[in-house]
Amino acid sequence: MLKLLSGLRTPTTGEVIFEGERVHATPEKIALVFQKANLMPWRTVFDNITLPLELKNLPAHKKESRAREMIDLVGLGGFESAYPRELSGGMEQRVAIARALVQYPDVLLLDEPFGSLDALTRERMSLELLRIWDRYGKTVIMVTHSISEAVFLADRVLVFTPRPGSLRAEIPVGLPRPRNLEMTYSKEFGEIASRVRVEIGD
Amino acid sequence: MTLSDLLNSNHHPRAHKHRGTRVIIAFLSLASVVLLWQMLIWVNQLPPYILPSPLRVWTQFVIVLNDGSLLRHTLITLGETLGGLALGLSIAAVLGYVLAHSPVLEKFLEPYIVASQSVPIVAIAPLLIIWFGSGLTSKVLICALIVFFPALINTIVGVRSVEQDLSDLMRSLRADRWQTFIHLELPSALPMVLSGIKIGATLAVIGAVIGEFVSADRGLGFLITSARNNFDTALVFVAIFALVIIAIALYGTVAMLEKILLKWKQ
Repeated sequence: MLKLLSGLRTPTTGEVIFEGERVHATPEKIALVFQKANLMPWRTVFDNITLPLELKNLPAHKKESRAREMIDLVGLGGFESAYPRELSGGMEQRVAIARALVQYPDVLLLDEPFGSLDALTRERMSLELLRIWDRYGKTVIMVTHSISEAVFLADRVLVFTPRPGSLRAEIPVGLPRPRNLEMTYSKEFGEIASRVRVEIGD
Repeated sequence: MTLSDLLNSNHHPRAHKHRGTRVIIAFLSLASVVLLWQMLIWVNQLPPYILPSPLRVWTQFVIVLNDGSLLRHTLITLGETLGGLALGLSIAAVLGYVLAHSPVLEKFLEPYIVASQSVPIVAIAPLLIIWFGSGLTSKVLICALIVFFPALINTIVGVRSVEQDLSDLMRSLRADRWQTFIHLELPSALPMVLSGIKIGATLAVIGAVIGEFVSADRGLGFLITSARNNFDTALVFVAIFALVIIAIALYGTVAMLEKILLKWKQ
């Protein structure tokens, strides 16, 4: 789905419109975070984060300061010169998020970014994402297979049918912000989650 | 002695001890081979033109070292090897990159590439000497030919090993053709390319010697042929050792390059 939104794949029917224009290639204002962290193993954390800026030929001092900002934002201080193989799964995804945010995108697309992490790390990364989103304040579109993750993070949950994927339902999430983990035990949370569950079916 | 040993020995006191033991083991290993060699001569009463004694080989080595002939021949062979290696690798790298991106062209050229590999290089060497003379050119071409195939295959495999997800990433970052090459394809292919170079480095030495065996008036291969004709078996040994040293030095250089360039892998 996100590969369509970002223009990496062409839709079988219909078209993707972003800011009034049809998407052929990934628009400048959209940044992607993949299912796997998808880091370049031969680049250090710092160099992975600066990759998008390097491709845009940004001057060194600009690259440096933006990368610093993102490293602080995702909490990777001290790991700048580590290689991806030295990182845990959660840290790798933080690098991937920093690499996306360093482009200062208007829209951040997350494709099941925490799918390969264990349950606890996943929970921690959700909170982390909320915090980052709070400070960064841009649109985030995230694909997930976890109902609780969707309800916990989102303002709107869109349920898609499996193959061929088409929109089945839109469920607004009225939970107040900032959110915290206690909310996941609230009655309201449970109600929204079960509505999503019903829409998904079996 | 690897580079990481050199680096580690600075801050690991244990590495010193470890290395000391290794030097002793290496020395004992060498000493026992020399001893066995000498025993072989004593027990079987072998004449020096069949198997010269270690001392005889050493004496011969000192002689050719001092009159400069060993160095001269070694440099000739080394030059041919390096020239052939450079030529073979460059052609293999460019062609490999193109073929990796064009399966149609690959299918088209495949029979010829496979055929070039099936013809024994020893058999074509005389032909190349006929065409290009017995000078440097023919030797470089023989080396290049022998290096070409493994380097080509490794380049193709290397370039094809680029992860689909990473190409998607590069596309989502709007990287152009050149940027994708520099930042993705080159580093992805590098491990395979380097191992191709490593294989090629030892093969190139073989190529140079084959060329010199067929026709030459200098080089270590020539030195072996002429020493054999003079029943100077000790000199044959010296030349063989020189060849081994060239091969090891080349291999070691590439291995060291690997350690530096593929630091992210260890």
